[in-house]
Amino acid sequence: MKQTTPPSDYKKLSDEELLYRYVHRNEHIAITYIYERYAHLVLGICMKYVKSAEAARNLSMQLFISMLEDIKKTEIDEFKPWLYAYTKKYCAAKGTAENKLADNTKTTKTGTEFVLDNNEWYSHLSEEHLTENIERAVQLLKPEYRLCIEMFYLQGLTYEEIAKKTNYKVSQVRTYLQAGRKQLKEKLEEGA
Amino acid sequence: MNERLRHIFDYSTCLNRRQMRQYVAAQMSSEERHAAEVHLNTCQFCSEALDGLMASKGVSVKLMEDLNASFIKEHLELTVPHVQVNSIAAAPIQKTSASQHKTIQSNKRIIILVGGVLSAFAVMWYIEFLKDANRHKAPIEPAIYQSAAAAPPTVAPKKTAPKPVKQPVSNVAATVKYSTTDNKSKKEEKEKAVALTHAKEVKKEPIVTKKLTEPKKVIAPAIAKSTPKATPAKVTTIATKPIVPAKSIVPAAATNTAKPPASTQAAAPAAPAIVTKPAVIGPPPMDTNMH
Repeated sequence: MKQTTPPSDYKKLSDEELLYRYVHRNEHIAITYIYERYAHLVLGICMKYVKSAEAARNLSMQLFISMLEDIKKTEIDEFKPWLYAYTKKYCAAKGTAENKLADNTKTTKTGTEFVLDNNEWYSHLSEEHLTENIERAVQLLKPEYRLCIEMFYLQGLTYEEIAKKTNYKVSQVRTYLQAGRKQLKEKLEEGA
Repeated sequence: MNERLRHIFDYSTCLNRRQMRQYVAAQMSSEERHAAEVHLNTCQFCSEALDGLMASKGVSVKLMEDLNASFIKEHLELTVPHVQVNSIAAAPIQKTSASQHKTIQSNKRIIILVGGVLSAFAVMWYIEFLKDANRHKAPIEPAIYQSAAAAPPTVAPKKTAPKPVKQPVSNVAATVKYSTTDNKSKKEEKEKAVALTHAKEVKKEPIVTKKLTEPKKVIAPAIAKSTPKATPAKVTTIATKPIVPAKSIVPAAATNTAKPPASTQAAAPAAPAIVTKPAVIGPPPMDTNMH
């Protein structure tokens, strides 16, 4: 007689463990926990590809129904990057012509792949290298990038507060911060 | 300054539905908002989702509140048979029933205990069954031993006539029964009958044992001198029916039958009676005047 897992323990399980229980043990409740964790993120991306919120909700529900079968056919190492790529492809196929591809796309022989950035490059850098070079690397950034990074990370200000102080838009502040981090990463990797 | 900059690339968990809803609705404090934005700088998934939700702020907050996995459950119930019975799956996700969980655990224990008791009874019954089966298997030899033991060990005095040996007729019959085959059953029944009659006759008549080879002359001359009218020694004869030569019915199963009297043997020396020696148990009956 198999032991049933109480709901409190399901919350502690990782995404991959929940997937395993759904695929191999046919535990329906496991996939519902996956839905609870990522439904709002899938909805938000769907809202970028369709006009109305109701259409985005229907699109996200169809996506999850389709995912229930595709999960069993695919070997998934990390669920979050896989779900991100799956969502982007599904919305790109089902959405309207207004959709735009995100910046983190890579064009390969098989087509466009949606790749989620990770911090694997960060783990390869030593602590000493980071300590010695990160401050110097920040000084070498573009002025707007450096300003936003220093205000955000050193002063602890939010997007809106930075936007008020710098007269930038909130979306610009976010863009400068993301671009500044990317440039900082390149400079640190060069010096390693 | 270095310490804070070192955490630029630290990894953090994605915003959950409540945090995303509060961020979109601007219901967070300054510190909470900053912490959420630190993650948004590192996670493309959350950042793009936020862009889509912020485009329709008022509607997206309501949509996030109404998100429900019930359509997934309904779809799975219709398409995929639920093999594993999960009592928690039947209940809504939000409601947790610890008391139900406890009762389920206690029921499991009761079932396991009852199963253990029943299996113990089954094992004990099987052992008893095996014992009874072994008892009913009566080997051949104990019957012989019984027949030999039933016959009293006759240690008769030398000069006195030996006591009549009891003929365990029933045991003889039993041994014959064990040793007979289907093909010889009729013949053996006849011989058995003969043996029975012979045994009865032996009981009635005292056995006068004499050496078989001794001639009758030994006794007769003594009497003849004294009296001219001495009658010849009485030689008790037992009128018996001619004994059919019997085949060795019991090769191994020796039956304890009394040795036929000398007279009968003298009458029909060519027809040996059914004389079988007891196998091992008990001293053989000693006949006087045999030597």
